[in-house]
Amino acid sequence: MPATFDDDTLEALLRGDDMALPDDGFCAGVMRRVQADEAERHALTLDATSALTQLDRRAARARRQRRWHGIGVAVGSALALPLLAATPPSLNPAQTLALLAGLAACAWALGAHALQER
Amino acid sequence: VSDAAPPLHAAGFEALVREHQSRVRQQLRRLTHGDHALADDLAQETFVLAWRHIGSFRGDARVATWLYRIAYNAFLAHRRSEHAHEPLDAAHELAAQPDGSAAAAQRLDVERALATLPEAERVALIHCFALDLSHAEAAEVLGWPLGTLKSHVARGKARLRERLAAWKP
Repeated sequence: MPATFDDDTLEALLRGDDMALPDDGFCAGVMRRVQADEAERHALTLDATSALTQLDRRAARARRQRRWHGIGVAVGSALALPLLAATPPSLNPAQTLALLAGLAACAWALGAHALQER
Repeated sequence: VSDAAPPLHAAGFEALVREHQSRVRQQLRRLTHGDHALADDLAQETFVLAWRHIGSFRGDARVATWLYRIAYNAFLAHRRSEHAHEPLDAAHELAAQPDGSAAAAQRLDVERALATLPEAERVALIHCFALDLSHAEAAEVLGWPLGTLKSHVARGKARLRERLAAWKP
């Protein structure tokens, strides 16, 4: 082995004489992995779409429930508030029944809404 | 999921793999100290990543340089995931060759000396000489400033020369 190497010799040695590597099935292996990767990504896209659809459905159901709760409170209030404003001894049995129904509707709507929010 | 579909169809990509597989595998064999199995695994990973991100290839570098960069990053990611990185015998591949000529012995010495260099210097010399990249291309592949690459190359060559001189029988 020489004691010293000039730049050109050293660089030539570092460059070496690597022969081109034969494919030996490498390319086929890569393409199999690429196809598997594509299939996995496609499946992930489908999963994500399905998850988004589920979330959309859940949000729509929650919106419908909130609307019904709002209607419950409005109807209950419309029934109960005028009667509560009246003097209690002057209520006849039908009015008492309407008052109780209105209060029950309000309680149901508020309770259901509170449960849903929790 | 968010990546756009690659604009290159599979047959075109297969041709690209066929054209560049040898160089990318050679690069990784050198980086992994001659571990052929690991190098081929990383090369496969490199091409899968290239397929996924081919839309981001801007065309302002050679395809080979772009692939070398992906391969180098795959190698670094592998290194980070390995807690106990044990360098293999750098001259394993050469030692196994039946060619016992003086040139082969000399190259074996260079490979062994190269394996003893600090990582940055070894990597710089591999990319500039073994892979025959220009300094600018090697800096691009390694993600280093050009000046840093040049100083690693100069220091690496000086250190390599010292080590080879010290081994004189």
